[in-house]
Amino acid sequence: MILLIIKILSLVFTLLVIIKSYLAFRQRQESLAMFLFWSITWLAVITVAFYPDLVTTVLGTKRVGIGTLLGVSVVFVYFVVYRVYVKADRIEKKMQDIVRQLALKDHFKEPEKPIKRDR
Amino acid sequence: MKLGIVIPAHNEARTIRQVVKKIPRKLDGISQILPIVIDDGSSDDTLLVARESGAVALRHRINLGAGGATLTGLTATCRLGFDVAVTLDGDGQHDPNDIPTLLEAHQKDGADLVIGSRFLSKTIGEMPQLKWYGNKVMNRITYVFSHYNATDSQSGFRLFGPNFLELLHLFSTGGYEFCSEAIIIAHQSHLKIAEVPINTIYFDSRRGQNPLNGANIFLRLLYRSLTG
Repeated sequence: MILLIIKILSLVFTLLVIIKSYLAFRQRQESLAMFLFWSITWLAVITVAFYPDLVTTVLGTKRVGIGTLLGVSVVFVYFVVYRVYVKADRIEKKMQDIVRQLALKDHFKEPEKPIKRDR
Repeated sequence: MKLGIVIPAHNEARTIRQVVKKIPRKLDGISQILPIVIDDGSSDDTLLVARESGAVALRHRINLGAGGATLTGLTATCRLGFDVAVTLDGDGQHDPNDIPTLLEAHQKDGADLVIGSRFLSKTIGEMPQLKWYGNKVMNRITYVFSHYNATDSQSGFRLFGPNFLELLHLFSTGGYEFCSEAIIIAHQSHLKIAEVPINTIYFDSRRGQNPLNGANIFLRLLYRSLTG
């Protein structure tokens, strides 16, 4: 029963992500490489969800099993979350700086500073 | 000595006039007092009402939160050539008549950060219980990162002295964690911190801080301490 629920959830999430990624690709919000990356990643996830024995067949039974794969996956997911957090934090700080500088500039009517442009 | 009164306000058109009007016009040892309202992306007439009330008013194009608005106000205070800043909330929960108490701690004791503590006043009994516990938790979290034991680490009624106003560039955040970060910066920079009792006016419509923000503040302070 639990395995069936996991399979259904995996299928729903995979379809959602692939459809969203495809729509973003169609609307040119996402590159082809990004669309292919997410599609292949989620197809791999759903393959493992439907055929868990495949892991043992591919990786062997002695040292590398489903547990190891899960461990590596968790590390990868945490790395991605950390990267996203750092990026979001950086963007938030920049946005705050811009909003605050604009408020001060509006009030003190500073002369425009020349923008340095790369040649 | 010139004193800037920084008032961060978000959708406070109903109360901001009263808050500005209640600010004392004259105080001992102060040559000029100027209310500075930071309209933090309000959708109502907060900016207009603040200007009509005689305050200098700056506007954030989008809402940054009380911390970001306070930081903008403190920067404006410095740019206007003011020496000391007092911050108080725009919803009317702080009593401007307590400003002399904060000033006294700065002028007589030389404190660079004076915190108006709700926990040292007689009105603490009126604080809703959930907020009481939330504030106590936040005091502990602030202590972990600052090693300073404040009785009211989240109070927005504060005085920032000239030595503190020179350190505004050290703020890495402008969110809810602003209050805690100010204590961390002051303590790490060996500035004198003092706490004085303040009266707080509690009313039902006050939004205040969500008690669940504690977890968010903890994570932000942890991230700050790790990344510097």
